[in-house]
Amino acid sequence: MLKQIVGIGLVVISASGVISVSAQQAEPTPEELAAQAADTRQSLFKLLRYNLNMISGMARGTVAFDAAVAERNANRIAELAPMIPELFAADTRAYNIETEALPIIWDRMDEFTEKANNLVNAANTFAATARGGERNAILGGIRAFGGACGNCHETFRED
Amino acid sequence: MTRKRRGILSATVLLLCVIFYWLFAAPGVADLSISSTELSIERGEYLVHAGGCISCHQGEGASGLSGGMALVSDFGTFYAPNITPDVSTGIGGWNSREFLMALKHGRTPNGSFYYPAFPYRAYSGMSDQDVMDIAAYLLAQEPVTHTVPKHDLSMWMSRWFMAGWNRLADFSAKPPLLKTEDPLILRGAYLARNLGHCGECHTPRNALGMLQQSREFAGATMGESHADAINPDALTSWGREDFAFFLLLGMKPDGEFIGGEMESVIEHNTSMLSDEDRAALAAFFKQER
Repeated sequence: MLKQIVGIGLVVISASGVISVSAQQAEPTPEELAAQAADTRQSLFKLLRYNLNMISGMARGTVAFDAAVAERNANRIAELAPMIPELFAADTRAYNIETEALPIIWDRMDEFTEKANNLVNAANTFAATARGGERNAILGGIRAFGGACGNCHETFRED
Repeated sequence: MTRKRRGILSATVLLLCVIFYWLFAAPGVADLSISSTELSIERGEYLVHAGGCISCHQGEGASGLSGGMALVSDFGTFYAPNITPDVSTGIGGWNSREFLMALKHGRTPNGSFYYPAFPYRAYSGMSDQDVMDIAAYLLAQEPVTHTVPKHDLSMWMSRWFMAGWNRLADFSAKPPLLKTEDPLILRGAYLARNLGHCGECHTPRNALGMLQQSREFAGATMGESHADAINPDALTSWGREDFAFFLLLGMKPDGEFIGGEMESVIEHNTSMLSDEDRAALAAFFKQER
């Protein structure tokens, strides 16, 4: 009797293991992939914002000006910016996911790409300015770069 | 014709003449001269930024203020003219009277009328000296030959209708009085209401396109673009310093950046002002009235 119970238990455990392994190996659904894509996009924007906030804090006077930190962060921004058009290549408008990205991004992809490229150019200009180390030029550069962010958000992001 | 009928006819003709004069007569302007000193040109450059001229009149590439930008409105599409001193396509050869008539009264050099897409009603409160300094700067720039497209408007939108429109607009409500003598706030009012003509976008309009001054800076939508409210109620969570900083960099207190047409205003207008003038604008917009 005991043997039978242990036997049944093993069968159940093995079966659940097989189910769990097969669940792990199952392909993610399109909805899950869309959610992952949105998550990656949002992480990118968080990183961009983290790096920009330190420099804009210098402009506002809440953080002491540090040319080296400004240069480092502006370089990071210039590295990250080209990922925006790359990550938005995944069209997620058909899925019910949590996102502020408006569906018109994919309806008007040419316009979106143009604005994203403007931002990439603005990021490169900003990084070049930051490498110069001149305080007023760096702080002024935030306006041009931030404006490129705002121009895209104005049309393509939920308020 | 009886004497009575003749009398009625004469009175009618006289009345029509009075109305015609009231609508179309050229207003009087001071007899001034446009200086070409460096000081005037320098002051004029600052005023061209403060006056928001660049956002609309800037031409393609490095072609100065040669115009051409389309302003889409509920009444059609207006194209900003060339205001470089080119004689054939710009404002080359204009004298002080023509500048004063254009900027403060909305009248063209040949006596016709500008459409109020050009903010002459806001500029009407400008000092004559500021107009002369703007003229000094504009005339000192490189002339650019550039013909801008004709306005694309409904058939009935004749320039001459603007005579009546201006008179009607004169009768509508005036901006609320400021209950202060603080020179900083008064300077801010001059920058916002007159030079910067902020109300042209941020104040709602009635069906005839006239500003509803009783709702000054309450936010407005024109064409596809929306301008936010910038009155004390809308700016409750903004300090004066937040607002002045926004005018410098376009960054809101929450770290977000403004985009669209206001981004261009920040770039060419408010970021170019002195810290004192940005502080004055912030003080004005936060002032209860």
